[in-house]
Amino acid sequence: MILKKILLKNFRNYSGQEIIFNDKFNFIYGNNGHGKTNILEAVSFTTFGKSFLGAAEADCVKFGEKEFFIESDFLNDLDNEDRLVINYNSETRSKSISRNKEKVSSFSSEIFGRYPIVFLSPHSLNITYGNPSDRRKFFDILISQSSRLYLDYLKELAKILRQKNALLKNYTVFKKYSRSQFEDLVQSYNEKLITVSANVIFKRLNFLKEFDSYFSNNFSMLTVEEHEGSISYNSDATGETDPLKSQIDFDEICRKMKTAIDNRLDDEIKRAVSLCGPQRDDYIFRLKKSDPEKNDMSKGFDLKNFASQGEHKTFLVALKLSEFDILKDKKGTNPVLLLDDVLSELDQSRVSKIISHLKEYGQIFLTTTDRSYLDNLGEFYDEKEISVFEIEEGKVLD
Amino acid sequence: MNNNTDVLENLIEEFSKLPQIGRKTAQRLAMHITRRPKEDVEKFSRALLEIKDKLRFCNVCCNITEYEICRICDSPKRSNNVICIVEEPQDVLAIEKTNEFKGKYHVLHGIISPLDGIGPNDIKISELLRRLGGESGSEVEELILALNPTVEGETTILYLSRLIKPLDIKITRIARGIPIGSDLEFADEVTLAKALEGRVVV
Ligand SMILES: [Zn+2]
Repeated sequence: MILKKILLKNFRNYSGQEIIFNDKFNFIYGNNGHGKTNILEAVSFTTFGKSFLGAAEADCVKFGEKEFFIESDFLNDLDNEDRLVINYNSETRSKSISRNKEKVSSFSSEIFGRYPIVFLSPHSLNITYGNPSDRRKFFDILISQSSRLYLDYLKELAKILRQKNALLKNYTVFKKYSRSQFEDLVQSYNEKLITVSANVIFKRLNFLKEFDSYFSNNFSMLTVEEHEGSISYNSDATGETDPLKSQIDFDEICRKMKTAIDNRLDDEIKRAVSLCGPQRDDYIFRLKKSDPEKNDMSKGFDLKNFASQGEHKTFLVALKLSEFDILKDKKGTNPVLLLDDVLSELDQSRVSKIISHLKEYGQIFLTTTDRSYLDNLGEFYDEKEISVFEIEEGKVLD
Repeated sequence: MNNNTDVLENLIEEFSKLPQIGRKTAQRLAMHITRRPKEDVEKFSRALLEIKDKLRFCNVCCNITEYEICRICDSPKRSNNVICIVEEPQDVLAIEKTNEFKGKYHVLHGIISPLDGIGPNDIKISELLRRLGGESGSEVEELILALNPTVEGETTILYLSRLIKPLDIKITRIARGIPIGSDLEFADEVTLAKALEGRVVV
């Protein structure tokens, strides 16, 4: 898939700018704060419906204006063109989206997952450094893009939790319902919660199992030393599970989930909030080194607690390249790869390694403050395969 | 402010209390009423009042009716063995249209949703339990739960099942998922998975 063109109106610091992209490599450079990343952020609005930096729509409207407008033209592998238009009005706080001039009523079923995109930016480091919710979000978006059923389970889970929390609050705080009514109600919600939770966990574990082969390939491509990376899943219900080494059994997950949920009920009543379920689970990134002192038994050490900055970055880049590979296989097309200011974050040896592999990916967007990377790229790309865009104060210079 | 606009304003306000009527539509409706002949408006307001004066809940099934006991509950042709439980009176109309169901109904007038402050006491659950425990209750062999396949519908089904279980009545739910007349082939992954989840023994 190729992003052919984007048109920005009153988006961030762009008043009006049309950019025609190269099918291969788009080299976007300029000083910080002039709007390089804004272009990639606009792309994230079209494909995910949200800013990949987590910014609110209202903050993306150009200062002094009322609405922004993003129009992007995608070309699929069969040369079909899709035009997506997003319009956000900060006065009415409304967002409207159209695809090929037809109004999109449900973003999640009509657009989400249709235009595979992989972002890598310094912001992505929260996947390895951040909270469990950052890791869940990374995998949730990734799994949802290839399974609408999973997205549906997530929505159902969120709905049940909202209802169960309201139920607990009504009972504990507002003293609604009799004790026996509450018992029957909470058991009804738990019954539903157990099934949906088990469905979510089951999907996550099976996804990790599949993801692992992509991940270990990329990880060993990136590391010079004899290191091994692995990802396991940690849940209230099942404890830490290495999806490669354990049997993933749906009924077993249900049983464990039920025990865990039943055990927390008294606490849940006291605190008037749900305390158990996959909304609290985590992915654990482990690194196994030949250095025996750092090894926690045989499974390697937890990246979160013991890794160096360089190790975090290697793990992240391996995760992101695996995201690319698995989406490519699932969608049958090359995702668009957006690299936002990542080269400066990496040391020279990793940069050369990554650049030498870039040719294997499809269309690439790279932002940087350093024009000299262009020289490295020249080794791998023909002149006509690279378009260079210099950005200054919300404009692409001619 | 003069008196006339107060009168108009009252009407606009009343219209905008109706579901899916915004302020603009309410204004349009009110202006329309001002232009209608007096007889028409009298007819309209009588019809409105009659709804409150004459309509009531059926003593047995809680459906809306003009009588103490609705036509369906009163009909000797309908079986007492099966009761179909629905959320709203319009669901009864929808099922009746199929001409396939020979049993009786129970209308809950809502669905349990703690988020909206709707608990078991806010819908017609105690009426259902009283009915099942009453003298015609012993004839009931099967309850069909025909609620919407939403989170609220499903948890209401689970809740009702818990209450009814000790009564030893068979409980079924309507199969959901594949719309009649559509091919399995064209159903999407979500619909298919749900249909499989809700499969019934043939
Ligand atoms: Zn009746």
